[in-house]
Amino acid sequence: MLSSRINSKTIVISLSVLLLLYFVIFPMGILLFDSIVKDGAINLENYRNVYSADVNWKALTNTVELSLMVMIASVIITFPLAWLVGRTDMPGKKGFRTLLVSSYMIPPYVGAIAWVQLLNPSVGYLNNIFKWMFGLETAPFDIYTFWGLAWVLTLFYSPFAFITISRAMEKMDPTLEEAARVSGASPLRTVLDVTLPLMAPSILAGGLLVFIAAGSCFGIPSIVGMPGNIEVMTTRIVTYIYMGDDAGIRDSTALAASLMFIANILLMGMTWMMGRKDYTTISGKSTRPNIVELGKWRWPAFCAVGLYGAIAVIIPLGSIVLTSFLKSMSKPITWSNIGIDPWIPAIHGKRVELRGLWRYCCNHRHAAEPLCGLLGC
Amino acid sequence: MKKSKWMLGAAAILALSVALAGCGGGDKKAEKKATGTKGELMVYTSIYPDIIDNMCKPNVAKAFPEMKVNWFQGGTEKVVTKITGEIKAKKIGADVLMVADPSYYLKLEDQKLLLPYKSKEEKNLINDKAADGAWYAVRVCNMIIAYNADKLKAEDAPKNWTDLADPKWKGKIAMPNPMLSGTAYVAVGALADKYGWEYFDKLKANGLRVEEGNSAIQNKLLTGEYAAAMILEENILKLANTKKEPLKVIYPKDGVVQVPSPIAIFNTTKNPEGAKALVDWWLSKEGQQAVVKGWMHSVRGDVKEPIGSVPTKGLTDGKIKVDWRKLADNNAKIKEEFRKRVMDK
Repeated sequence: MLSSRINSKTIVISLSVLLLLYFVIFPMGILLFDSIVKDGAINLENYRNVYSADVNWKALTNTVELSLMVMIASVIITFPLAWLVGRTDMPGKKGFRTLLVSSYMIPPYVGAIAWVQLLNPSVGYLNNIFKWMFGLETAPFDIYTFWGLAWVLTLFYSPFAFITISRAMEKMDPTLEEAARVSGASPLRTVLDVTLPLMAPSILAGGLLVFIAAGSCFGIPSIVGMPGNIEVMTTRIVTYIYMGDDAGIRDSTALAASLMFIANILLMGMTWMMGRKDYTTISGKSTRPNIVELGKWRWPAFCAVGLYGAIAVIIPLGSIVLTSFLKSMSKPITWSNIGIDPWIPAIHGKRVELRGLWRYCCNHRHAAEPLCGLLGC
Repeated sequence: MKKSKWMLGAAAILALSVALAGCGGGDKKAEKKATGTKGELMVYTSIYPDIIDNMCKPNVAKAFPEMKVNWFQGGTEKVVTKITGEIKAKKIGADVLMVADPSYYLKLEDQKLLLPYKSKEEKNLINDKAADGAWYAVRVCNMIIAYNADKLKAEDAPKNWTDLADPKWKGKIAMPNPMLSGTAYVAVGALADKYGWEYFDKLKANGLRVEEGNSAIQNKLLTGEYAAAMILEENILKLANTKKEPLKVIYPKDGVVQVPSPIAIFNTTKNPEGAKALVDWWLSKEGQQAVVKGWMHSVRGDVKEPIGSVPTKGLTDGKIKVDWRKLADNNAKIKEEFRKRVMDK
C-alpha cells in the first residue's frame, strides 16, 4: 500500500515537471537564447540596439512605473476590502465578495473600451454627467493619460491581490488577534499591529501578482494608452512583431526577454522573502477566525465597499450593456434608441463574433492562469 | 487507499493532456491535399471577417462546390508576420494570398515566392498587375476622410487632406495606426511623398489621434468623439447602407489614397490548379460583383462601383501617386519616421 502511494505521487510530480518544462521553461529558454546568442556567440548587441531607441527606454520606465503604481494602489484598496469582507460583520459581505472578484471575469479589452466610453474627454458618459452636475466647461477627466491607464489597470487587476489576501486571511491564526484584543488593543490597533504584519507575505505576493499582470497586459494599454501616445513594453513588442521582418522579430524578442527577466526576478525575490521570515500561520489548529464587530461602522463600511463595487464593476459593465442595446451609436441615449436590434446577429450565432469573444477571454487569461498555477493560488 | 486513487486519477489526466497536446499538431500535418477543383485550398486574407462570412465563403462555395476552401483572417500586418515565420520555417501554409498591402507582394516577388499565372480574365482588368501574372489587383480599397453628417454639415466638412490641419478640427481628428494597418501604412507613405513629413507634423500639432484600427475610428466618429477621420471607404459604405448610420464619405479633392489589393498564388502550393481556378473566379465578372457587394471597388471595367460610392474610374484617375517600390523597400524607415513625428510625446 505504501509503495503504490509513492508511485502514483511520483508519476504526477514527474508529469507536472515535464509539462512545466515543455510548455513554460522550453519556450522561455528559446526566447532568451535567441535574444542573447547571435551567429553562435553570446552577443548583447540586440539589447544595445533596442534600448538605444529612446522610445523603448521610455516604454520600459513607463511599464515599471505603471506596474508599481498599480501594485501599490491595488494593495491599498484590497487589504481593507479583504479584511472587511472576510473578518468583520459588515452587511452583505458574501455578495460583495462575488462582486469584487467578478471584475476579474470581465476581459480587460472590454473593460478598457468601457472606461474609454465613460471618461473620454470629448463625449464620455461620466464626463458629461460631471459637467452637467458641476456646471463645468471642459471635461474633468481624460482617460487617455498615464493616470487613466493606471486607473483602468488597477480596477481590473486588483482582484488578483484581493483573492490572494482574502485566502490568507481565512487561514490566519486568530489566537494572536484574540490575544491582542484581550490585552486591551482596539480593533484598529489590532489590525495595524497584528493582522497587517502577519499578512505581510501574502500582501506582497498579491501585490507582485498584480505587478506582473499589469506589466504584461496589452489590451488596456493599447486601447487607453495609444491614443494618448503612451507606450509600454507590450505595445512596443507587438509593434515590432507587426513589422513583419527579421529585424522586427529580433527587436521584439529582446524586449520580450527583458520583460520575462523582470517578472522572473520579482517572482524569485518574492519566494525568497516569503521563505526567509517565519510567519506562523498555523492552519488546522483553531477553527474559523473570530468576526470583528464593527459596531457603528457597519453601514459606513457597507457604503464604502458598495461605492467601490459600483465603480469597479457595475458602472463599466452597465456602460457596455447599455451601449450594446443602443440601436445607433450616433444618437443620444433615449428610449427610442434602445432595442435589441444589435443583439440579433449575435444571438443568431454568427460564429465569428462568438469565436472572437472566446479568443479575447482566452488570450487575456493567459497571463493569469500559468502564474496562478505557479504560485499555487 | 483513497489518496492513491486520486493520485492515479490525476496522473491519468495529466498524461492524457500531454498526449492530446502532442497529437493536436500531428493530425493537421498528416492531411494530404487533393488537387484541382476537387481539392483543398488555404487562403490567407485581411478582408474583414464578416465580409468573409457573408460574401467570400458562400460565393466561393457556390462557384466551386467540390473544393474545400479554408480562410485564415487577420489584419495585413498579422498575416505578414505569420507568413514571415512560415517562410523562415520553410513551411508556407497558404496557397493563395489576399492581403491589403500591395508593396508586400513586391517583396514576395523579390523573394521569388509567387507563382506566375496569366489569368484568362486579364484583358478585362483595368487596374494594377504584375507583368508575368505573379499578382493581380483583385479589389480596390480607398482611404478617404469620413465625418458624421448628424454632427457636421457637408459644407463645413474638410474637403482636402490638407484641410485636416485646419485648427478648427483641433483634437477632433484621427487616423488608424500604420504599424498595425496595411492601408494606413500606404496612406502615410503616399501623403508623406506628396506633402512631405511636415504634413504629419502639422496634423500632430492639430491633435491628431492614432487609433488601433478602422473599427475604433468608426465607433468614435459615431459617438462624436471625432469630427473627421482618415478611414477606409468600405467601413463607411457598409455602415451607411446596412445600419443606416449617418457617416458620410469625403473624396478628398487632392485625390484618394487608392490601395489596389492583389491576389497571388504561392509557388509552394500543393494545389496549383485549384489556386489558378480561384484566381480566375475572383477576377471574373461574378467574383468582382461579389467584391463590390463587400463594399470594395472592382478592378474590371464592366463592373459598377459599390452602392453609395462614386464611379471607380474617377477615383483611379484622380488618385494620389504611390511609389510602391519605395513602400516595399522602406517599410521600417517610414513607420519609424511616422512614429517619431506623430506618436512620440
